[in-house]
Amino acid sequence: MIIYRLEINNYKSIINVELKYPNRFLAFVGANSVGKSNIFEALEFAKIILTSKDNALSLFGGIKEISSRNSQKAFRFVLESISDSSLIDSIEIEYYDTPKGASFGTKGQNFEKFSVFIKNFSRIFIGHPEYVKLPFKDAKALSLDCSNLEKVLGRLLKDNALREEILDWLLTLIPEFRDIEIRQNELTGEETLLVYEKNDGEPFSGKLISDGTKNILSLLSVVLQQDEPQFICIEEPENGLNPKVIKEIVNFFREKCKEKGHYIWLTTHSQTLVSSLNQDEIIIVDKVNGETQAKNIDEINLHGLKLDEAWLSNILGGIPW
Amino acid sequence: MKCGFIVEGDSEIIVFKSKNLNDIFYENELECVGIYSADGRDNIIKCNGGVESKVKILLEKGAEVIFIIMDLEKDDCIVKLKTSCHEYFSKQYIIILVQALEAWFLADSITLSSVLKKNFYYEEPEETTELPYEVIKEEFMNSYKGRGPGSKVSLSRKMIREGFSFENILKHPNCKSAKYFSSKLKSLKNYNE
Repeated sequence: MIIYRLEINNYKSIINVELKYPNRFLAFVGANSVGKSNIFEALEFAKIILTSKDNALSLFGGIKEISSRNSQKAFRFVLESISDSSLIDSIEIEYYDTPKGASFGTKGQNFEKFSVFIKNFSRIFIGHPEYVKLPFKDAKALSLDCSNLEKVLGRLLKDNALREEILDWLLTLIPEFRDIEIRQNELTGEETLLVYEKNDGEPFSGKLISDGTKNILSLLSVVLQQDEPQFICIEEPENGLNPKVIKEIVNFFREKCKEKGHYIWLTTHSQTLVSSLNQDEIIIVDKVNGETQAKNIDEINLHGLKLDEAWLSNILGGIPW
Repeated sequence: MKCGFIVEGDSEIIVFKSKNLNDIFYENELECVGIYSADGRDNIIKCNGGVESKVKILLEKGAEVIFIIMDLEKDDCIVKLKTSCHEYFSKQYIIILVQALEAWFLADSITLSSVLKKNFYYEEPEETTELPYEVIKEEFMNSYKGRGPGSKVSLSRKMIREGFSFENILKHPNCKSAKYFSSKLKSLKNYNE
């Protein structure tokens, strides 16, 4: 799937956000509380409507909770894809009132062309259980808060090729490590992550493993959890990571988008992360009169300025003042 | 006429982006196309930190005149600063305003009285022995039982919230930089006409 156009209308602070031909690897950059997460949440809401229409509103707290605060109009979502032969397919979700209450209608053909979004969408915000709508407990895919990391990672480590790739990345990002293992408790069946350091024979586990290490493992796992193309939205992946690691994680995401056809979209506040991006990999998000606005910055000639410097100098927007 | 600003830092962005300043620009038939931080006065003086690129971006956005707003420190000489800036930029489109933003805050007696919750007037806001921010900080400490303004950015946000206005500064008899800025805005308006 190649996204030709994405449009979200009337979701919380969003009146209209439209992205044309967005990059597979993309970072949404903006100040706190401008609505970056609302964009990801709207995508998650749309994905759940497309797979489990009857439950979507309940999972997201009802129609009042998701309605735009600045518009009387109702939620609408359009996703268009373009094929190699330039044919455009689209799916559309629209809200309508019924005698039984709020409902959503879906329009479009060739839904199978959107399977990357419909089947393989993940929203990740590591360590934030309060945002979880569908708490996955098994090994198939990571839950939003990555609380099932041990299960998913355990499955991935059983595949030799994936194990090698995870270890290659992990030992690059944390040179002090030499191995990891998921050990299952024979009595309870519970999985425990064990980490082996270079100069220590005994592994350490559980609370002794830093948040940063868990974050790195979660980021690797979500991208590698499926071989098929995925649509992954990750909130603030930089949390707890060293600047050098952030830069390498960006390379990892970018390369995996090229290799596997993933869409990996991030929100970030990190200057280091922004400094690692290309100009066509940024969407600037601002709030104007209470309304979330998103814009790309492809066409600005920065005259050699670094992206992070341009961002923090107020040339791009996306700063708190 | 379109104009742009290169300023020292975030506090100036906050003030020059405020509705009050934008109303002043509008009254003088100016449209502000961008307010960019140079990330420190040294970057302006030495034309480092991408200042040249930022000026080019403003010009590409249609700015016909660019204001460079910078502070004057004790040993600085205005003429020398202006000469060094003009070495890099054409005199036709650069107006240099030497000003410490906090001196403008000191000159806005009405807003600062509201912020400090007492009648406040400072006779010479641009002739302080300490930096103007330090003067305000001391007043804060007195009014807020030992609590200062926090930071220059925090002070700027508070001043804007409490009604900081350029008209208030112009009422002060001893704030030359504000009067100079006002005269430049008017001359640009007259030039337009």
